[in-house]
Amino acid sequence: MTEVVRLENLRKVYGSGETEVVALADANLTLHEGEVSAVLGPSGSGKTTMLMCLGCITEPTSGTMSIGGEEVYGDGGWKRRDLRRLRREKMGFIFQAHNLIPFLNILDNVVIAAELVGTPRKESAKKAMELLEYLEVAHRADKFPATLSGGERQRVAIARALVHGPSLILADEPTAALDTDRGRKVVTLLKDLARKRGVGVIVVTHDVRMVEGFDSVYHMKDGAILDSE
Amino acid sequence: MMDLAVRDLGRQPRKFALTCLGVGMLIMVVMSMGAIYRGNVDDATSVILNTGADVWVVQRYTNGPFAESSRVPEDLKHTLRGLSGVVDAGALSFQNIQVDWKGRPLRLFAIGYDKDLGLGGPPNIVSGRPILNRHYEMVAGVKSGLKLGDALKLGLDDYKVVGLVRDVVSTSGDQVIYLNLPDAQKIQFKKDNDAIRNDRVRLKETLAAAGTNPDDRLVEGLSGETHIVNAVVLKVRKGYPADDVVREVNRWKHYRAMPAAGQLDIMTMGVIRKATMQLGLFRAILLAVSMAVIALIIYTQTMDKIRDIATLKLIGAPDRTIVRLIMEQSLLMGFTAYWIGLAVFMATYRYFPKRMIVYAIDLKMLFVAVMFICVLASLAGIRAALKVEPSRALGG
Ligand SMILES: Nc1ncnc2c1ncn2[C@@H]1O[C@H](COP(=O)(O)OP(=O)(O)OP(=O)(O)O)[C@@H](O)[C@H]1O
Ligand SMILES: [Mg+2]
Repeated sequence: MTEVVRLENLRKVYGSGETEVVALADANLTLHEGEVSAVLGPSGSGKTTMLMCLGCITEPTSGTMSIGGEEVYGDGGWKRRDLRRLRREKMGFIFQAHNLIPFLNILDNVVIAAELVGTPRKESAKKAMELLEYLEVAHRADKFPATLSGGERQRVAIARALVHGPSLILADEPTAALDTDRGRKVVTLLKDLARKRGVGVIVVTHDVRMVEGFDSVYHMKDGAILDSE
Repeated sequence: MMDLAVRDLGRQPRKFALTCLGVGMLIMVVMSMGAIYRGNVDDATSVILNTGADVWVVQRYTNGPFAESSRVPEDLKHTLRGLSGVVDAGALSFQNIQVDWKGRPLRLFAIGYDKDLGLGGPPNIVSGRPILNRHYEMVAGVKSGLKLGDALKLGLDDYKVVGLVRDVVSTSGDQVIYLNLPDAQKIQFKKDNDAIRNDRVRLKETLAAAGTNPDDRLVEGLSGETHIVNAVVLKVRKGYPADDVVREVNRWKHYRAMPAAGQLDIMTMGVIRKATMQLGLFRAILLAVSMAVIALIIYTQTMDKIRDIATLKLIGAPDRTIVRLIMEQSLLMGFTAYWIGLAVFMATYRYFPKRMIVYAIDLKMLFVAVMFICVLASLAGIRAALKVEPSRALGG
């Protein structure tokens, strides 16, 4: 199976001197195509930090990081210039703060991710509507994010993360704002995507009930990955 | 790629409309000043152009009657008429006049010309007739408020309006009246009988003191109207170089000659240069203010959505998308403001007291300038947007 992600001794230190915080302490992690991994851990344990490193949003301090077999970070620096291109082509993000664009309606919020990789408007809109329908927010397609509930916004963010067919999905508490049924539905969707399309998925969650059927579960504490099951 | 700029502006249409309206008014003033400038140049050159002369002969060492005081003897025209290439020579007088007309001050610019010769006289009579009688007739500008048949007291006598002309104004924008030269000279000297008598007595005493015994007829002749004019204009034979005539006059006569173009240059370069620069400066300042307004609005709007821009970066939007979002908004603002300004300007410029002339090229240049300042105005916002880290979308 092809490797989607490989972290070797990845370390992230915020600040320096007395204010120094080791948010990620020599993390090792491997994810293959079609695999769904969960990351569990208490607040402040470094889960979001790890996702931000994986998403090339935060620069790690040391170690190496490969995405899709390409070493992206190593020898103390980025190995690639166009990180944004990597993000828009290969990754889908679902973050704690849903991060929808307030001046775009729901449909456009999803469509934009497909358009950014060059998918024509019509095709983008079709894919977006399919996802919105599956996530039960299609009836809100022409509304603006401010008028939606937290759960609805979360589902729109999920649709946006999937619409352009990424090979790696990074999800930070994707089910936090959802009720149990819908939460399960989202998790099932992510698992299906992994199986059917060979997407690698990393889900950060507090909710142990959600992790059944995952290929691997990592436990984090104080920036370190303790074990995997 | 969807148009983010329009979608974002659509969220606050009122703010956008108000900004465009405000900047549009500034742009309208810039347009007006441009038209006033064109009007000024036109005013400044109107009399010179309407005279239809090829060569101007004025007092030596002066720039001619429109720039300063210029006096030449009237009979100079006879001498000049004999020069080779000259077909006609006419003496002209110019003076500013202010009279009371229907209880209000009326400023006029009087041009005296030889009615029999016609050179330098009213160019395009729209109603009535040219001056035919030797005395007490005048032709006035249509916009002076004078009507055919009106009688206006100038100096000691009444002058009757027999014709009206269009589009001739003095350098300061006053309406022009045309008079027969002897009348104009009479008004210029404007002496009443007491003053004339006093002058004669003084002259007689001066002559007596010098040991002569002048008789009254000699005194009367010496103190009578000296035949002075402000310029003599020449008409040159077709095909004959006016510059040759100019050179000839400058070499032999004690006067300054210049081609009509030279007299025009003196007006545009010298007399109205300060006013022109002033207007130019105001226009530049207004454009700078417009730019500052647009820049401020664009910058604050960009800062308001800086998290959204970080989100765009987070989902991988390239810099091009973000630059376009901001610059397009700035250009849209300038574009809309320009058309608002133009619409208001076109609807109102006819009602301005100062004469305005609108050139399409001026409006086009202004459009280019507005678009350019919009590009500049967006730079501060773009800089801030390009600097923001995608992680900003996640943090507080
Ligand atoms: N930008 C930052 N600057 C300094 N310290 C930071 C920064 N971001 C995170 N940290 C610190 O790094 C540590 C890990 O934070 P992180 O957000 O990764 O935790 P988390 O596991 O996602 O927590 P939660 O479950 O509450 O989301 C924390 O101690 C946090 O205070
Ligand atoms: Mg977190």
